[in-house]
Amino acid sequence: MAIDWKDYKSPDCYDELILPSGRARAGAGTLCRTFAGMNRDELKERKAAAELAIRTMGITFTVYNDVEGSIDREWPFDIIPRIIQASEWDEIEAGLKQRVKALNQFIDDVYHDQQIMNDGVVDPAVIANSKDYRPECRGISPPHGVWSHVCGSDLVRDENGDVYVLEDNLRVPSGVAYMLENRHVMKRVLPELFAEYLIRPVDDYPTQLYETLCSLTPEAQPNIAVLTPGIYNSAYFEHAYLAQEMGALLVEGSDLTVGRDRKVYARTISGLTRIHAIYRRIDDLFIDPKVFRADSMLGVPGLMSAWQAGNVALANAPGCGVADDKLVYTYVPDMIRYYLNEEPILANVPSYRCNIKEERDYVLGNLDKLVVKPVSESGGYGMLIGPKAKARERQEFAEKIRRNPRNFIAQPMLSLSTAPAVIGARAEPRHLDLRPFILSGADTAVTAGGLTRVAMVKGSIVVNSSQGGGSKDTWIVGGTTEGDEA
Amino acid sequence: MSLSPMLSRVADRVYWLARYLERVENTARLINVTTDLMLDLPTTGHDGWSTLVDITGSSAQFDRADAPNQEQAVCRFLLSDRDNPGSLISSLSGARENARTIREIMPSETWELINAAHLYARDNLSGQLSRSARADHLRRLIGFGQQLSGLLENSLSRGDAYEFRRLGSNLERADMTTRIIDVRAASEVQTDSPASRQGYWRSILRSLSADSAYRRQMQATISRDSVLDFLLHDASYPRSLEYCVGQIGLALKQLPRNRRALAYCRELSKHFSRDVERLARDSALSQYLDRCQVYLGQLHELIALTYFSLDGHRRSRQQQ
Repeated sequence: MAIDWKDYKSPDCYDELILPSGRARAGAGTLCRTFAGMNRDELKERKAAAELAIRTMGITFTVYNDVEGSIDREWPFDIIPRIIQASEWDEIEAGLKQRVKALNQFIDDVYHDQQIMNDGVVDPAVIANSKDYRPECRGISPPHGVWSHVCGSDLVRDENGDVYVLEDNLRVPSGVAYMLENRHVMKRVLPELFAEYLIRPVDDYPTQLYETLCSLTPEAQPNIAVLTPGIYNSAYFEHAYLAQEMGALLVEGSDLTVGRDRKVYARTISGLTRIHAIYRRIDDLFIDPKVFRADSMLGVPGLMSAWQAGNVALANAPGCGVADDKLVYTYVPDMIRYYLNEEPILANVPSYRCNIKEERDYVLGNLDKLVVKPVSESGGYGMLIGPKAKARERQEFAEKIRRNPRNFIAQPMLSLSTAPAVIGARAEPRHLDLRPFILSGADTAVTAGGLTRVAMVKGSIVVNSSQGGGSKDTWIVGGTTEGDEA
Repeated sequence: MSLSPMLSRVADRVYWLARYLERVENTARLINVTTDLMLDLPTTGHDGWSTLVDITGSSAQFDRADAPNQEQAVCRFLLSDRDNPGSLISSLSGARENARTIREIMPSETWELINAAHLYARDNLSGQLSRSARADHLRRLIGFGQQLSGLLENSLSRGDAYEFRRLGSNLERADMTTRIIDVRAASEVQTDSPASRQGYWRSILRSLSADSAYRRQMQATISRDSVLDFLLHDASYPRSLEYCVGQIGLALKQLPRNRRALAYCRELSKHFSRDVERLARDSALSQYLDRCQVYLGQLHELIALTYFSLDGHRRSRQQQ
């Protein structure tokens, strides 16, 4: 026997599968027994089978490397799935829908009358100083009032198992293709477990994305394109995957052109073909060199003008990053109360706003206890993890905060939950989070679970794949076939 | 979900994917056949291995002076040398890069297979290889090629991607057929014994895996004229020049804006149909094959201009 759950100890954290007593949590019993029943060779075989599947399926992500330039790495994957009970998930799902609904109303408000600021709920300076506020979007009304059609919100658990939203990724969140491929790999590697559990399927996502995009144009048979920066982008695998699954054109900026009629066309073997909706995976600032960065080679000159004229739908809409700002994040519970007149179902991680003097003073006095984040970075870059940083790093960071307080928020160091991961021929606890994806168009849909990202380095809480993170398949289970266990 | 016409960029990549895959298979086959041929020939008085470099048209990059063991040097150059853009590994990397950027329009196993072939070649072709190991690895790679052809034939929808693949693989195939005849025929001239002369013509057939098809069609005798006639004009053998050009024409007929390329294709067929009797002199044959290659090159240019280049679009847009 390779894995003995009695020996498995999660360090003062909530563990997703195993209770402090060493017994399995509700729903995880069959899974834990299956793994405990494998000997070393069997466990290694399954792990090797997963690695082989990932290699031959070509599931990669691209990292930039100084020596070799851009290289493809195989997707790091752990074979022990993460389990969430359906009853808990249903509540999370409702919370995510509520949250994204409020966020979309907020963005629409920001680019129209700014009532939430006129009513004193959000400080106008927060928007005025936002790096992602786009004056070019003022007065534009995208279909259904939706700006963020694809949102990836990162969820974490604290030591009590309570779920918090860590951040909302509203610009071009990635990871959904890995969620889909993780399930494919899992089915190849541990097919017998799928007979034991009633697991909510995830594979309807591409269809839902397609329907979301279709709902943004009046066309009955719209031509849809996925706009990618190209094969050297770290998420290119995903762009190609989604285009293929949707039957959409996968285009680069140079494949598109905007005519004098302010409509968008693709260069095809038949000449120019009209495009009605674009799922763009390029950041705002690069989509149109005529309006934003003139040096962008990735974008399409005139695209903004076509969008402003209502001739093409862009998902996500330009300017929606204004709500991706981590300082804006701190206002989301207020937004939910303001726009929806509801209490937030999901909680924010308590956050300190460095632009407010009292909160900044607290942050500067407690840097050794806090995680400080730049407000408009993603991918885990530019953070200070106070308790793990050296004194000098903290001093340098304090200086950065004083120089530009608007640019930082701070949160208490959460002891992220763990789940067992196969390390060698044993199971060891590793920290993880969860990124579900929320689609908004005429309707709203949430993935069943999402992408569970795992910090594969012992003790680390950085889950980003660009920084050594891996992932797990995420199972929303419940219903008839699984007995109780706790 | 709706179907739009293919992007010019994607058409370009499908076309090159097909050309690269064809090139990989041809290179592997050429080396295996040459290995066999060399075993049958006297050890002196022929330039055996280096003609392979000429066939692939990459003699400019190959440093002959630096090659004590010609066989090893040529095989390394043609198989695993990444600095040689015509090497098998370079072609396979080219195929992989192209496949990678058009994953969304190919059957999903295509990428897996190309990826597997690339990993296989990368792991097995570098370093010193024994003849038998080399032959085994190359047979595996030919097998990957055949598996891919089968996959695309059986799973790729008949549409633009299929036609551009047909254009690419047939153009490459036609080009390779003319090159193999050209260079091998030139080596045959230098050989005295009738037995080795026959060996050369047989090796030409085998390089194109045409030996059994030839025998069925032309019976057992292997002679210069009948081999030439078969490889240039046989209407039913898929690697004959005539067949390849016919396929290119059929593919073009399915594509939009095909007027100029089709007209050129018809001219080409006329040139190719020259009687073998008129190619009796070796200089005539060599001239004829050179012209074939030039024409094939021009056909490629025309296809690229019509379907791939952005300039072609500007022109067509002005016409609209």
